[in-house]
Amino acid sequence: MANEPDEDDTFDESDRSVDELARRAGAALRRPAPPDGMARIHAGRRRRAAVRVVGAGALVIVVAVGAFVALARRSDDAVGVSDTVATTAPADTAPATTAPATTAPATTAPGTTAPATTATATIATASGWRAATGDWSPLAYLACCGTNWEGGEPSPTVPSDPTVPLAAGLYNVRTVDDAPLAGDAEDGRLVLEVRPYVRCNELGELECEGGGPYADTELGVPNAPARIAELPLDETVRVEIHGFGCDEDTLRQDRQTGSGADLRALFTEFDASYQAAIAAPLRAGVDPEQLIAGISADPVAGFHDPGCPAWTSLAWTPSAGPTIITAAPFTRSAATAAGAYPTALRVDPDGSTTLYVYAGFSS
Amino acid sequence: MNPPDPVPISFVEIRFEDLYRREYPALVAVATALSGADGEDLVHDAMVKALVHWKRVQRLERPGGWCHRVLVNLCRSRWRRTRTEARHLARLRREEPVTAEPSAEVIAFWVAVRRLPERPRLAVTLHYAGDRSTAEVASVLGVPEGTVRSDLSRARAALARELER
Repeated sequence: MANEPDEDDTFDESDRSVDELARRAGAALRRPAPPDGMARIHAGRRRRAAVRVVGAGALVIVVAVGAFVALARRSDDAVGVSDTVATTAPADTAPATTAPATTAPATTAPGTTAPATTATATIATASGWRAATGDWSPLAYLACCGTNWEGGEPSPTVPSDPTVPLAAGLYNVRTVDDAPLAGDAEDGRLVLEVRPYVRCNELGELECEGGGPYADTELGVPNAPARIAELPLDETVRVEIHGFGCDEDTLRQDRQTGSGADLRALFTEFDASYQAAIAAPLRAGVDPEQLIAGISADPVAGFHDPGCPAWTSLAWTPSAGPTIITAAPFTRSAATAAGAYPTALRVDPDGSTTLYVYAGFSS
Repeated sequence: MNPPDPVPISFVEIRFEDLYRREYPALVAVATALSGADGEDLVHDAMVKALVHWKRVQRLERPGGWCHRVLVNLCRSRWRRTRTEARHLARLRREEPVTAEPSAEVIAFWVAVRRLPERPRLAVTLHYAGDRSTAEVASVLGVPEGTVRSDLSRARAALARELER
């Protein structure tokens, strides 16, 4: 094809070495079209035609949700009331990569040893989901659409000694293995990568989107985690979770607050529901679109038609807690899917901790 | 400098199947590299779109470029939505291997690529997995070719550092 080596004066030995590796790596992934590919594409077109009417208004809803989320990003953080984060420094080689089919930045826990639990609970939070008050910091949402975060303050410096508590502030978190949370919930803890929000102008090359120059308000996070935190899913941690509901064809935010124990119960229930309503039928060969149609007509295990006409995916409403959008539950061989992502960790001056979990649309 | 793109054969109808068979190897490589899982489903979705819009697509100067653009958009959408599924797909793939496993070197390379920010990630993937020239990558991403060259150069440097660790 047209791809030829990028020979120029600046192509040094290191460049050449990576270039050669990249060409081998690229070639290794190319393979011919499967024999039944054409037949499956024609079948796909027929299915697409059958559901076209349902999908016609999806763009309108996406735009509406975008505006909704943008409005929600304008205010400051909610107040946290609980605590307990045990942390550890990432291993030097972390994050170690895993099997071939992981999605970046899919990682295993740095090293193989569990983080030492050094912190202790100091403040208990009430259990039971209830409506959250206050708005989320923009930093507690997923950075949208290949952009950087804006509208929040950088995090305090993360001390190099993992036994030193985090200073009051908001930190970026993600699950260490980017995995669904049920497995962690079974252990009663979440293992999180913690990164500070840092001005893009102060970050290293390629750690913010867009290549710069950056506005002083643009924040990113370092590629390498600053710490690994083990967060107990119990009453010592406050949780805020952000889902969406639908009232009379109109999307509304559904933000609720509870404890780590509530989150653990929520994840466990979600996983069980997903296995029953979606994973099992998919494994049995049920067509995904037929599955959506069937669940929309007859709710299964909390999964239901979201109620907004042009919202083409499904919603899941737990026995307690916010409605969770399951934006992409359907992959032919999927065993499970996540509907909620830890995004940020807030440490208050009294040492109490709030975990933010986003359970809405993601793009 | 790369040679200029071959002059496309404009407004000559081509068969969908020819396009499919010609573009599939690069498309599946790009989708696999970007998603970290087998990219066949994403390529399928992109090609269904191409077939739905075939009357228009077949008359484009670069129908293959159109398919890559659609595929990249699909990958972007899935990128944040389904990262968690990859673990389970990996599990299933280990149980039911359908293709030869790539080497550890190849795996490490694409894992490192997927840690890059979006634009250099896409540039590297389209260039090396999709076997696209820098001009074609620029066309797919809608950025100047110089930007693609710059992204590739910086990305190679970043990857060299990452892979040396």
